[in-house]
Amino acid sequence: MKRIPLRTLWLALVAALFSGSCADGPTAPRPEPGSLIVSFTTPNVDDRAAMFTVVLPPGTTTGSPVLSASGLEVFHRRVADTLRVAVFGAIPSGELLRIAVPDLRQVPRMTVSLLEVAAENDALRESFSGYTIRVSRP
Amino acid sequence: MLTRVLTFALAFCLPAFAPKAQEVEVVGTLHTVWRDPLRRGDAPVRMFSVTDDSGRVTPVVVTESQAAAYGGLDALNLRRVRLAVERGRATALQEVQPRTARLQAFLSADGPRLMRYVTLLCKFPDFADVTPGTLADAELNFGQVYPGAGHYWNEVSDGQLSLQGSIVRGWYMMTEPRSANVPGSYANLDAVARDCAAAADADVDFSQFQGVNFVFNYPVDCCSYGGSGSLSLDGGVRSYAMTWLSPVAFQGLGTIAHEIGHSLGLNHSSGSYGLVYDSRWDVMSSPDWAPVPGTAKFVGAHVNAYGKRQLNFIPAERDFLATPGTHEILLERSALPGSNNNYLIARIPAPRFGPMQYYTLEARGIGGYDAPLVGAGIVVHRVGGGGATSSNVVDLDGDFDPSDEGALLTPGEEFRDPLHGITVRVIERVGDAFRLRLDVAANPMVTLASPQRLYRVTAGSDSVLVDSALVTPIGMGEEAGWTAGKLMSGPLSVATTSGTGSGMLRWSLRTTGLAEGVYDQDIRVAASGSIWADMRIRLVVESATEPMLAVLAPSRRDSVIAGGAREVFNPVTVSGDGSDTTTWIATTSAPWITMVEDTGTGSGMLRYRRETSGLAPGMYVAQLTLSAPGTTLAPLTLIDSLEVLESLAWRVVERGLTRETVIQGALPKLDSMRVELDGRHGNSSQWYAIQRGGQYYFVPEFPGPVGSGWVRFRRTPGDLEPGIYPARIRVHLGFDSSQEFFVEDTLVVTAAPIGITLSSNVTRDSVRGVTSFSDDSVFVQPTGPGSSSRAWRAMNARGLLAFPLAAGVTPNQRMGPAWLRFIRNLADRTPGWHVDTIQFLEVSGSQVLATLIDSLYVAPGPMLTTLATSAARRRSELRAGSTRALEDTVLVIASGDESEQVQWTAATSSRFTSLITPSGNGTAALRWSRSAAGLAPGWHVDTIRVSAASVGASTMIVDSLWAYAALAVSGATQRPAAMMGAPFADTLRSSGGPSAPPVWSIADGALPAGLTFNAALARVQGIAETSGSFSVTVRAVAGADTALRALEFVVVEPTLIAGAVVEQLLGGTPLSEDQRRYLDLQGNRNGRPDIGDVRAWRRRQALTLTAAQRAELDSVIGSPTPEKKP
Repeated sequence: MKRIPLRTLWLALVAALFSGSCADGPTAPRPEPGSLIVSFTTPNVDDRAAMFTVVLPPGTTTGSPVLSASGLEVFHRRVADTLRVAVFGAIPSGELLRIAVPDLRQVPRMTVSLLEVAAENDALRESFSGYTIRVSRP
Repeated sequence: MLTRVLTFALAFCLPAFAPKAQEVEVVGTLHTVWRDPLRRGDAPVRMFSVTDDSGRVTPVVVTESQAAAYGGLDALNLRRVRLAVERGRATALQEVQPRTARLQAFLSADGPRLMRYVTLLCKFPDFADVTPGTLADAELNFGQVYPGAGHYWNEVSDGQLSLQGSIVRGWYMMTEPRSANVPGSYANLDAVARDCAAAADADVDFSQFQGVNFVFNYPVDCCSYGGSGSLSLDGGVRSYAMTWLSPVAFQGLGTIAHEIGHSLGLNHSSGSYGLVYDSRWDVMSSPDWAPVPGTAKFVGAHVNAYGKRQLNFIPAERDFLATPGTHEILLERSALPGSNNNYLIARIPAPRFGPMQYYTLEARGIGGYDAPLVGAGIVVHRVGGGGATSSNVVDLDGDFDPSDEGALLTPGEEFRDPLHGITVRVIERVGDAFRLRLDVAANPMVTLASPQRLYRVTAGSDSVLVDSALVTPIGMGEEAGWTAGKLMSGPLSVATTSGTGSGMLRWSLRTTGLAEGVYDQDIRVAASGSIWADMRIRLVVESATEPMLAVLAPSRRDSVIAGGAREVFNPVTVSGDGSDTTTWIATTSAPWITMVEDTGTGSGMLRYRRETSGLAPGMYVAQLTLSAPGTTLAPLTLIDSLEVLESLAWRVVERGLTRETVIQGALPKLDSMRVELDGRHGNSSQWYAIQRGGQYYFVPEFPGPVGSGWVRFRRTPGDLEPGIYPARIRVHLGFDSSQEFFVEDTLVVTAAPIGITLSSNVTRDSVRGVTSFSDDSVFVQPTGPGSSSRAWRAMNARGLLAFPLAAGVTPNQRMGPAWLRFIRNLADRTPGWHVDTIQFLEVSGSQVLATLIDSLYVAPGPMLTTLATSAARRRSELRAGSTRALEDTVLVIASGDESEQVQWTAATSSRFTSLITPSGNGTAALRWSRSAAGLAPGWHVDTIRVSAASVGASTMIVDSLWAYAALAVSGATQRPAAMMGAPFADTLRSSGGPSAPPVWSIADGALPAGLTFNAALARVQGIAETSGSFSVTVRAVAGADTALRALEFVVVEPTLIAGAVVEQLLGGTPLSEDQRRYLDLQGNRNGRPDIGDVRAWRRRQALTLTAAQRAELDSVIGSPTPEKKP
């Protein structure tokens, strides 16, 4: 039987220790703070007000919504895990606003729903066909 | 203004608490006990005591004024207080937060409540031989079937209060003789309660009950008592609803109900004559007056609506609070009300009596325990008038009897309070409800949008709860000032202590360091001379405990006949943190148990059925496991024992009539049937027979027999109208009510014949010539059922007799027993005998029920000439100053010998009349005319005298003229302003004109959109949809008079607060209904406020928020919101 040199054994042991402690050990994912984006798509050119809700995962804190376009005004109210937001002004398609959250990885667990859209003549849109609203990571 | 603010600020100051050296400080739960004398002429006494946390009881005298700052003595009952006591009298009083009395929280809770009383029968050892009743009798008197206390309160509360699960135990021998604890005229209630409870402690787990009834075998002193007290049995000091009853409890079931009412916190009510027990409209006044048929027992009627509202038996949505204006509502009967949206109580504020005083209206006298009342209609109470009773019947006829028909408003009748400008009119009865019209003048008041708040936090939390509500002054102008302050010490801070016009009231609650308990923090908002409003705020600080599972009955034992089935309801309680989301599930391996509802989340009901089909007689024991999977809660084991008995056979033998016909108003008819029970348990099974369905004519007897026996019952026609009344008699076993059968029974009530008896069937008189006057009378007595209200009429066939006219009554028509007076017509009678008849008939019938024969003998003699006129009085109307002539004619009638030749002349007092035919011969027309030229408005009277000097005869006509002022549309040209979006009504008035009411119309112009003109009511009404100023010319026409008037209607827009509008949009505190309607009118008018409406409103307001407005908005809706991307 061929004998294994002692030096080779020692090197193998050191390598095994390093690989066990650094490469394969469990590591907790870290939160990714940042601002989520609420995007709005409209088939019309005369939307003048809109209201929607964002349902957040339980316990998620939020900052105040920050508008991405000028000429708009925003109000919001938080009840439990639901954030209700109203935006007034000529609302274009595209990025509407941003909201700071402690962990952007939670964005897929959030749902956003359009509640009301008002036109130039203050009438409500009877259908949301062609509208989309969504939340996404930057 | 400063003075007013100071006045209100002082009103909100809480009483100082600083015990002096010689005083003792006591902290604990305040208990109230009412002492009711058995002799109803005596006055009741209200007594107070405080039980501290160690169970020590301190009797104390407290006055209403000391409790005024906390809402009065009624409100302080069962709450924690701190008292300074000197020689038995409280010298200072302060409420202590939090309120921990579980009984008080239970009594004031909303929704159905299960309240279990244990009734203890106790004997005084020095009267050991006295046994006034059996345990079985007491079980009936406190039981769940008519007329037991459980049945009574279940009906009175409309199912909101159940006494199911209550038990009766006794008789127990107490240790102390009566002489030891009743040293004088006042018993030591605490001592006798402890003695009696201790005697029963081995048999009773007092922790399972909320109330205790003590029934003694000998009167405890002069009186019965009801209220609350405390016992230190089965786990610490607890407050209990309590009654102390003498042997009267075996007969006076109304007294039991009365004292239990006190134990629930109700005070007395009464009439308005300074007595206490004189109103049959409330068991809390007169308890024992309606006999229970077939027994020697008595009951009372329902609790009045004020008491029912106090105990939350009437939900808020069926409580109508009248605001200024005209309202038409349906008021449902108070007893056994239908499941509809009709109101059960109407309240009308009466602030000129006092700031918290009002009237209540309720519909009484229909059905259930209300059936024996004197009639059906609306009863009015005045609430908050002070004195020993909380509410007082407004006795409408003021005859010192508040329980008779004079206290009832029936269709067509009105109640008026001129001081407050209140008119209540009963329009009609609609089924079991009454339609009322309420006219309420604008008494100033302050209102709060959604005036109640409830917060729950966990003990140890450190947060500030911020909230707000809209304050709206009514009837005081837009710039009315108001102040706000809290009524109790505690964690509340009022941020808005004053305001002007409509505005937000803001407050905050800091939870730091609060112990567990209930913190009631009321804010009072008031304005000078107005009705104030209270914001009722309750903060519940809950323990941070693990969830806990519990069931009402951990073990059950029942008997059921083989083949039968029985469903079991066992409430499951989950308490502690996360209790609302804790899911429980029940399982069992017993094959004879079928789960109906075996799982739930939070507190709920476990339901299962015991099926005995296929089970042989014997004892079966099942184990059920109640667990909460996914939690650390320990499973509960429930034991269900079921004794399956051999089947019983029922037979009804020796049945009497199954259908009986009686005459209306007949006396009760007794009948009986024998029920045979066969089988092994037949001889030991108790059973009951009760009526199901039909009218209350069938009155069975209690208690039910044991084994085979007789059902003795009576059919009581009472006041039933003629008709067929089917009923079902349900016979069921006492221990297994599913073992039942029904016996059909029918009562046929036929109309009783009416008769009429006259005081005399023959009348006669004699006269000489025509110089005499002849009249006579006869007393008419209807007979038969309902004779006192039977209407009858009299007919005179030949015209000899004339019936005298009575104002408002058809001359020959009367009701019930009455005198009928008649006058013999002597004109043109020839000498000799004349005979005539008067026939008496029912008003709606043609059968002659009695006949009076009248004879008149006219003796020969000289026929003197007389004068008469075809009308002695005339009445007419003309406009004052008018030159129009109004002519009139009467016939001058000359009679007697040579009457055709007699010459007469007429003369007038000539105030407004002038004669056209001043003289004539014999029977001839007299004509004259009237003129109002030169007359002042008002009544004017002239007389026209007709005389024939040759024969010395004369007669006279009295002529009255109403000279009315010119018709005009009265009131201000500028009408009261309407608020856009809010209901509006403005009734136009006229002055002057003839007596006929004017016909109204719009002559020119147009009202604001949304407002219409109701010509029948002369009212502009509706909801204005646009603002601005509108000119309208109205026309009023009465007779020949016409009046035109230009009026100015202004519609203003309400002032909305930006923060409130946005908060409403984002799902926060809603605006008032009027404000929401206004908002919708600003925008797309689709019937609801939405973001389009808010946009329109903002644009119209040119709303660009200032920094200050933005800050105000943020304080309402949350954190600051940057407008632009940084």
